[in-house]
Amino acid sequence: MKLLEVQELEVFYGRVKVVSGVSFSVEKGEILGIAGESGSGKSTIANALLRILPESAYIGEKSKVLYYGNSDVGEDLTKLPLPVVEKEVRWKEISMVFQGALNSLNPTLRIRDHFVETAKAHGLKDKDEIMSRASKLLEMVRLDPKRVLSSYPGELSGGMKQRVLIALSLLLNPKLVILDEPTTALDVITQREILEILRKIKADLNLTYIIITHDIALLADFVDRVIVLYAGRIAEEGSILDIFSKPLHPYTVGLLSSVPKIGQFSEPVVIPGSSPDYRRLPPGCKFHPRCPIAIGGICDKQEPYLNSVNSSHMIACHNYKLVEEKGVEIYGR
Amino acid sequence: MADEVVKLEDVYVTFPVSTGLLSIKYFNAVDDVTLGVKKGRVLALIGESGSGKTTVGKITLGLIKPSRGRALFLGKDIFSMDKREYKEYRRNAQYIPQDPYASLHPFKTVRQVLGSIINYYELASTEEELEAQIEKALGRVGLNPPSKYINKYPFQLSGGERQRLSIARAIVLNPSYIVADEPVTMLDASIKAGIIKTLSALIRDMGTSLLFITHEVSLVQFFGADMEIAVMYLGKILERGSIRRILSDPAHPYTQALISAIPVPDPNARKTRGLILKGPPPSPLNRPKGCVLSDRCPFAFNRCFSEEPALKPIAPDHEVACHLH
Amino acid sequence: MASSAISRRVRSSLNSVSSILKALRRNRIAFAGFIILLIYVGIAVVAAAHLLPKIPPPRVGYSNIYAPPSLNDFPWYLLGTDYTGRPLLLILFYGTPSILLVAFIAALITVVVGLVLGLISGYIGGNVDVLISTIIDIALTLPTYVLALILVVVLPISLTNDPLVLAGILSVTSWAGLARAIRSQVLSLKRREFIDVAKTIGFSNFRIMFGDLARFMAPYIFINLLVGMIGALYGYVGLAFLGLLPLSSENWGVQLNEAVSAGGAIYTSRGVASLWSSIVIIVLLQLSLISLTSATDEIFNPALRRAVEEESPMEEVSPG
Repeated sequence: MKLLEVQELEVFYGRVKVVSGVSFSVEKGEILGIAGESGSGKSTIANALLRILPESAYIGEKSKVLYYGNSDVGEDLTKLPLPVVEKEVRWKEISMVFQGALNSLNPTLRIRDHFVETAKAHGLKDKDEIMSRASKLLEMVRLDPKRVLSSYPGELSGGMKQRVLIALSLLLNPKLVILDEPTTALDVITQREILEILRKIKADLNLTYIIITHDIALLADFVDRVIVLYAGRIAEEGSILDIFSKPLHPYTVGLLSSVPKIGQFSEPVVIPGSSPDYRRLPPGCKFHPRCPIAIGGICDKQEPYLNSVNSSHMIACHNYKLVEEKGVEIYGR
Repeated sequence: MADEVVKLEDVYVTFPVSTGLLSIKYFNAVDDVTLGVKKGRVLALIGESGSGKTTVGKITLGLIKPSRGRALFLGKDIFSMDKREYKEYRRNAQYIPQDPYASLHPFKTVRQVLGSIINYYELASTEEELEAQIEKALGRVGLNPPSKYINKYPFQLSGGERQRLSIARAIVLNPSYIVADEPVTMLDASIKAGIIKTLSALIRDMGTSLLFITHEVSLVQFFGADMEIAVMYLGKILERGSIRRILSDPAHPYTQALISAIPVPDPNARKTRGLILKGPPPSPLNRPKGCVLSDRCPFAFNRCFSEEPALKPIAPDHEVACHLH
Repeated sequence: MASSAISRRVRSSLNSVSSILKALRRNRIAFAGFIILLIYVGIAVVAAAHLLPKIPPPRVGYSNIYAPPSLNDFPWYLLGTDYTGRPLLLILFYGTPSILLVAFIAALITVVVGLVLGLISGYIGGNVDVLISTIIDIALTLPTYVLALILVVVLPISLTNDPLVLAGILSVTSWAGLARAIRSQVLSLKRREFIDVAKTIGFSNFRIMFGDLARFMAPYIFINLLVGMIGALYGYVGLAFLGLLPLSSENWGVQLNEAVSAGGAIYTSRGVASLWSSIVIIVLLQLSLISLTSATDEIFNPALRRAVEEESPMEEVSPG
């Protein structure tokens, strides 16, 4: 059953549209991965879900974010008044572990104070209860509560800090946790550990995850379904098997080929060109200036719609059949 | 040795750390390392943070002086060169650091960054030559058209573009040796490949030796199958050899753990990989006695806890420091 | 050839100047301050170049001293006369060049000495650092004003009339605080990667210190220059007000002093114009200098200058 349904999400920064026509849903208990490079809009979507966009940004009128956590009738989070979102939704229903979060712990506060502050900000005041929950959560992320609660962030390693942040995000029993680049800046072995911990917590606490990352390989290791974003639009969507065994969008193919397998010594595939400038997006498909198989007259004129290829796999590309045929060869190797 | 452009011999770098009012503990960021980079070849130095790999790189660049042991460039001790030798060395050893934001002066344009070097070494005698050399360098690192970039300040460039500029800055003097310290770690996955491709083509063209420091083992493969890898942990070299050998048949448990921890873009492979190291890395001040991995290694036995294993060859082009071998 | 290179450099400097001015205009307070400062400098230049009418000889007599404003000989008697019976406005104008000069030189000495010592001791470290730091510490413990007072009184008038010497006296210890601040900035900056790179490129220590590091700290230095001028200004006016400088009615501080003592300005209405005009011109100059400090970003941050050049809005359009 659906936990979250996003319909036609549009986000504007000032007059510039940075997310356009994004629709997707998240089933209860699944792990959804949103992949894309920096600036593709993935963090913007996450921020929009929790209504933590900066002042100059706003969500388009037509957008709907329906949350089914508490009833069969979805509540549109975009239309709720902000104070309600702050008090009832954030951290209690949906919480987030932010990007670059290793730096977001206050270096002058002990860890236990972080828990207390977070709890108080969301209406939980009983200190004993906060501490007992915090201890349980820290144990779940394999940290020693006695030691960690009385430490300062500076005394903890990167991996430990990340785990503290995960524990913090679970303080008020949310149903959905959004993790934005949870393993960037962590060493490979620590990364594996964190993912294992996340898997275990999810099973124990019945959680649903949305993982946002630019690291395609991370997704392979962890998620059930993938949405590939480019220029604020969905390029491709599918189960993990769909995307990794039969990618259909030229951009996805390029992304996957930039990560070599162990033992593979060939030249990397490089997607030509550079990230799009949102103030001057090209007409038609936003990827076409960089696409090796763009069809003149079609790709530069008409933006492709998201079409279903099978029950789980959707693709927004005019020329995906060629990708199906040739795979990574479209980049000319 | 004559065919090594850079060599570290029995190098230690010791740092004092105060652990209380009157007590000081010492730890070795680099612990008895002997390592060489062959002429015209690539050596990848693999390790997690705290392994000492950055320190090793900086020693080869003459930025850090070893507490013990020697650091040689073309056979000569870097820290006892005379003025002329040192000038030659400086010109020939260049650095591409990790952070694309912190490694550029915020008030200098691209032209000034490259131009100041060219002028300092008097490589151009006229304005035209200067412009030409700058544009050539920019072209070689893929910042095309050069005119688009030449007047920009660092804040106007993306992370990938800044790193390309860093590479341009490193090659403008045609050095014989470059140290690249995690040059793509802070960049998006989709951009990493492009930067490495550029760097690898350049050094092949120029015949430059490269010390590539990273914790991302899989990326290193882009340099080709003809390179060497050395794996570091807590200041020690645990394994060293040709990349083919080590990736296909890693001998040290740590290397095995590293390789198995690499996420593989194949969901079917998910179930078959498990973590094999126990617990987090210890603080460098609490190094285990004996083998440096003994507190986390699942195969540790008695000897491992009391005796440090030496780096021994187990095949041509493959050395390991482990009692299991 | 060379001429095209020179013309390109001239063009690019002119470009930077114009873009700085354009960026400055965004910051209205700073721009106003800048204009006011320009006016002061203009007056100083005009006065120093003897383009102003000569000061008439002093006139005694109650009706001539602190005479109220009149429209005689416009505009010089708009503020009336001072305690020597001469036109106040003209006298104040004549006082401008020396005060600006002294303040500027004093600030310059402070900044240059502070910068050089801070850079060297921070970057070179070791025994040099120990030596310089000790000197800095000693300088910091000396009581600045007392020292300045003593020097002014003790040194012969021939010396204290010289603006250079005066500037030196006013900056005798002020460089120490700056030196220490710069030293600590250098200590942390020298660990940054761009310094490592500069070293591997082979730049000499001198080049790294006075090229890269100093350039990096340029905004800080600029602010200290302005603040230094403000401090020197007060010092100068203060010393004059206390009657420690050679009596010269052009000196604004002397005017203040005389206005209070001879004109009885605090108690009667006669010396009021003299009192207030001196205060106003001093304070106005300080204000213009301070407002310029808020423009540091506009002047040094290439991001702001570029935004102006491209006429694009400075909003943060950075979606993630």
